[in-house]
Amino acid sequence: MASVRNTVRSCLDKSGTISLREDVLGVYGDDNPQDRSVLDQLDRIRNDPFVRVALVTVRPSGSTAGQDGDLQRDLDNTNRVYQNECGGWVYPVGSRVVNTNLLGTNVLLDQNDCSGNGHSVSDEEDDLFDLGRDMGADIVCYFINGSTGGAFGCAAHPDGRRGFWTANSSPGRTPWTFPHELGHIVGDNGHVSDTDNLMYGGGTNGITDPPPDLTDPQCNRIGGDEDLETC
Amino acid sequence: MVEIREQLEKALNSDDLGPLETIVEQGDPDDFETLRELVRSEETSETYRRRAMSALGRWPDREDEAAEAIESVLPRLTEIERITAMSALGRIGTPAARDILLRSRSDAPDVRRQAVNALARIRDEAAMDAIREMAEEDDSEMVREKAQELLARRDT
Repeated sequence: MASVRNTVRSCLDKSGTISLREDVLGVYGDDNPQDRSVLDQLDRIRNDPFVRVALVTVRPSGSTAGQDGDLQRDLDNTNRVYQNECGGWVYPVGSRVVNTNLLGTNVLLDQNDCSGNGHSVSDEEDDLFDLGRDMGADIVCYFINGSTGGAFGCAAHPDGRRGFWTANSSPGRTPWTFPHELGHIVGDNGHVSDTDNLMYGGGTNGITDPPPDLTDPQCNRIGGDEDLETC
Repeated sequence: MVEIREQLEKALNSDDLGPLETIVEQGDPDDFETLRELVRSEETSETYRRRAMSALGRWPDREDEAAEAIESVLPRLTEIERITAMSALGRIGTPAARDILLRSRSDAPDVRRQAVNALARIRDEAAMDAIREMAEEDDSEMVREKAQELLARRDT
């Protein structure tokens, strides 16, 4: 256990009481039926490049609902693709539920646009992307109910506050929306026309032959991202 | 059933709205007509109708036609579609769009809250008067607070 604690402390900056489930394995939701080996994870922590992501679920004031119900599925799918295709992985630093009417009781974001270039930040987006900035990751994922425009996710963000949002109850969010939007952030990957690829621009519900692929150039961009780190 | 060309259909299915914003930038009149038909058709899914309204709200130089299409379906929209409609009308931003916003006061607080956002985008005298009124008199504390917040932001 001392070795686990030392690894988590030195590689992931976690101190105090260490939770094997959350701090080591990065499990914050329902445990999907898959093999979670502590030894493999420790090896990954020590040797493989990773990116930290904070998870914030936004609920209306007074709601007793917890974190997003598909959060763990999304994390597992993201790691499945990023590990298999690029050899990197995602470390969730924590999961937080914020109760607020910042986006109304329907929790829909009024966003000016979803453009990677010349993005204009709305007042609500400005407020939303302040949340979770104290959790220990540069990149924050917001689980909201969608946008007023009907999107299922978007990676456009205010300068200096990297992050993206996914819709937590929209019918269009798929198991690949989270890793797709993260792919826009980490490595600044754009849309592609290959339907087997994670970054397919015609909707992740149109991805064929899942789990989706990432190409070498996409992995190279991910590998060169400013927030990718190694122990 | 509305016929949709392949690139527009992909944009309507995309997880994010970036591809649909590209369609708007390209400005193909046929796409505008398709989007207008999608807004009006009773067979259109909620997701497609919301995205179509959002695209119409950003379409340059066709503002009155876009506003008219959205107003024509307002009475039969779901609450979440009406929120999208308010947002689109705010982006259209013309006096005609503003007047539709002022006429279409909803029973649903979240729709009125979005109407406040939309009026704040327009920011002309009539829009600001309406926001001031909602800041004082709206039945919903959430709507009053949103209106007050936007007034305070505009004053700073």
